[in-house]
Amino acid sequence: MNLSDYPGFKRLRFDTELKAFNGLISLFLSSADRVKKSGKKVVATGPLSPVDPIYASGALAYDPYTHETIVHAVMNENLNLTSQALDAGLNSDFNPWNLIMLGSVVSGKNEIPIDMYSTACGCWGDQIKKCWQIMAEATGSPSYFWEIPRFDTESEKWALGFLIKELEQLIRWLASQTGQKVTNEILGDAIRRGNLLRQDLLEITKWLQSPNIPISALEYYMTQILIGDYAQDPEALHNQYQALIEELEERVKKGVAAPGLKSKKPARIYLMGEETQAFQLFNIIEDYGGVLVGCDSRLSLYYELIKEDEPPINALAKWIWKMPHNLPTAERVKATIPFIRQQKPDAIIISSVVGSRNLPGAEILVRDIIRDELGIPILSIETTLPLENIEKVDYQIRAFIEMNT
Amino acid sequence: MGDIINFNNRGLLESLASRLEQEPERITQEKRRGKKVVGYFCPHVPEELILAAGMLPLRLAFGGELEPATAGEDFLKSYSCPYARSCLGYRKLGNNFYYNAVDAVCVAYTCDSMRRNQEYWAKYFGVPAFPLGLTQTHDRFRSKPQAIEYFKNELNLLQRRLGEFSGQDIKDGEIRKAIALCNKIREKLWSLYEYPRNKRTPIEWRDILDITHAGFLMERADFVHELEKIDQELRGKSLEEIPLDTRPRLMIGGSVIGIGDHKVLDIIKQAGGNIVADSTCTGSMFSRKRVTVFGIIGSPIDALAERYLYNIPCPFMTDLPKRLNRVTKIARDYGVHGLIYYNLKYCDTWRAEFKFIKDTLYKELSVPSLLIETDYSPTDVGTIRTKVEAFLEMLGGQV
Repeated sequence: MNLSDYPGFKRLRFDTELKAFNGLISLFLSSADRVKKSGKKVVATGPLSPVDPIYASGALAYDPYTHETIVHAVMNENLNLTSQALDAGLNSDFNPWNLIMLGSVVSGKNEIPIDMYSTACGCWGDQIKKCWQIMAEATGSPSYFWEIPRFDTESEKWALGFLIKELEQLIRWLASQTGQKVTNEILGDAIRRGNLLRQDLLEITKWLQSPNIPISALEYYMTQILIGDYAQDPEALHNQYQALIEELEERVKKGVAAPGLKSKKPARIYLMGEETQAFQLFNIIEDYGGVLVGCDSRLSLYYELIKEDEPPINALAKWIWKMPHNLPTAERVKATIPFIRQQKPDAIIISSVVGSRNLPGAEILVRDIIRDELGIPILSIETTLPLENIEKVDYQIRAFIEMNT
Repeated sequence: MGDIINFNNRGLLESLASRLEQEPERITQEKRRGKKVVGYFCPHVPEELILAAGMLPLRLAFGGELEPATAGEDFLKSYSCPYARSCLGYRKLGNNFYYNAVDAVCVAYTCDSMRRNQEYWAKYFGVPAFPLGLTQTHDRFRSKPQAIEYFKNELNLLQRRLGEFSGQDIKDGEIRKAIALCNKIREKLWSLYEYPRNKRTPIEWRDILDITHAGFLMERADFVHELEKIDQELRGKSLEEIPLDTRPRLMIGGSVIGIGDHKVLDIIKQAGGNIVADSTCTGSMFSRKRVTVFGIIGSPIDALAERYLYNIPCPFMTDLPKRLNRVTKIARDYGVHGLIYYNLKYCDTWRAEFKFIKDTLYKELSVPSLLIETDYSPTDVGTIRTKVEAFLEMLGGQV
């Protein structure tokens, strides 16, 4: 597989020496074959929706929001799918991730065939659930929503009670679709496999604390966002992550930094906010002498492991309740700050996606809290579809890094 | 500060209009006497709790003005809903009495943009902002009993917080009284909304909308008194003497129509359209469904939870079939010829449902729909007028 076979990837600078990363991309791109061979049903689930219950029910989780958009928009630069999304009922000012995803599904161009739609509805992402409704309706597929509503910090008792009932109902629904009963043992196994992946990502993220960071920004970002659905094969993904960890360990032992880094004393940049389709951003950070020391687009899902010494549904409910993206903004940011601090950033970039109403709506508060708590410079950027707006982002990042080195 | 509401039917609504003009002075006096004012934005917040706490509720639902929407961009991005931005912008600008008057706000956790009001009013305006969580995935079949348990807990929490804020415990008896008062308002308003079903109606939907909006700002007992006066006057009219209205009958649905947000309504009227029904949260949906407390032992919080959770769901909730059924029923009951779907720019939840609603109305009733996407800028008046005129001309052949 040659990454430069894809027009969108041709514009990007990859770390071609990092063999395990190539393996990760191959895993991502071979999902359709794996799904077909497995004969299992596929559940489309949103990007921040925990997937362990899906695997426990004997189905495969699939994140079309990420997968379809990366394949069609980022890799193949096929942005025409947005018009299909408009025909299906969205507006051009929606989040471009949703436009591409919806366009691919309603036009039948989705990479992986989907049997049903189920996602969590939280204090985030109205557009996601609307897209799920439209996609299910357009394809005549069953759909089920479960939710993680607003909770106060003082409402732990009823929060957990609610979440446990939601999860029980979700699991019953999934089981009714797959015909596989889900016992505590089976759910526990799914959680254990998920924990291996959570642990892998936490280890990879720890390398970003090193003085010679062994993984480039683009590779780290893609490692994080590609696997929210466990690539339809948690074990294969874990093996790939382990291979990546070994390579990174080797680099660290030899004192070798990632080849993309241009500066001996790079500005340590932490990226917060929404995942961007403008992958060039990550090369740009390094081009101007920065280095990525963290990115929390999806890291919320991986900060902590789910406890394995408790009844699995209870443990899953507790973990969900504490996930930062399920908390109100101020609490979310404060929960994230210890993780940011340990990465020792010099500056923060907050990424918003034009058309998203979720995180951009919270940006001012996030900025103010970060400023109060960390006292480091912050840059806000906005991106849309790949290639759009990238010149402006280039100038902004260049100026920002120059000011902070 | 000029007319808050530019009442069309000044004759019928003279008393209400005069009464409304006195509200700022009355509220100021009440505040001097130590009474607190609590604002809220969404109809999912039970104002009964605010009343029961001895405080004055105000539904802050102004819209239609560009300046507050722009001022709100200090907090929300320009690509967020103008109504949500206005909720912040009015307070920031400081030139709307009602937004300045509130001592606290209650914010229901609804859509992505509106939710921000809770954090921003607290942090940037220093106004206590009490959140109220709502479930999104409950449905009309009550398939998730945990949803109402969750909401009851949230209401209990809100009750406690409002009680602490007001300095008095909120007792069940006070909640029952407040429920009775609000139910009376709902009954009276609902009976008004029934009039335009008839082609000979003594009051137009637009007037009823103005009355509803006035009620958001008035002392509630006074509002009931005014509603009774209007009701009495309307009952005294003979329907046979009212000319038959032959204009195309329209329903308006979609995004919130704020107090003062008249751009599209004026265009429709000038073009010769007659709005007879709506499915908006600042219109008839606000007054639909009573709170029913069962006997003397029924829990008022249970009753509030049942009413406020299972009213017509806002589109941030996933029970789309219930909304479709409701829109279809209204269109059928009111003999509607066409739907004007009013969608504020960046209002995702309503926008994403337009195709479902349009297809359903056409399939069930052969009623066509016109999508009007706009914001609070006056620059698209000409374009909207052309669309509405063309739509009415098309309907004219079917009327």
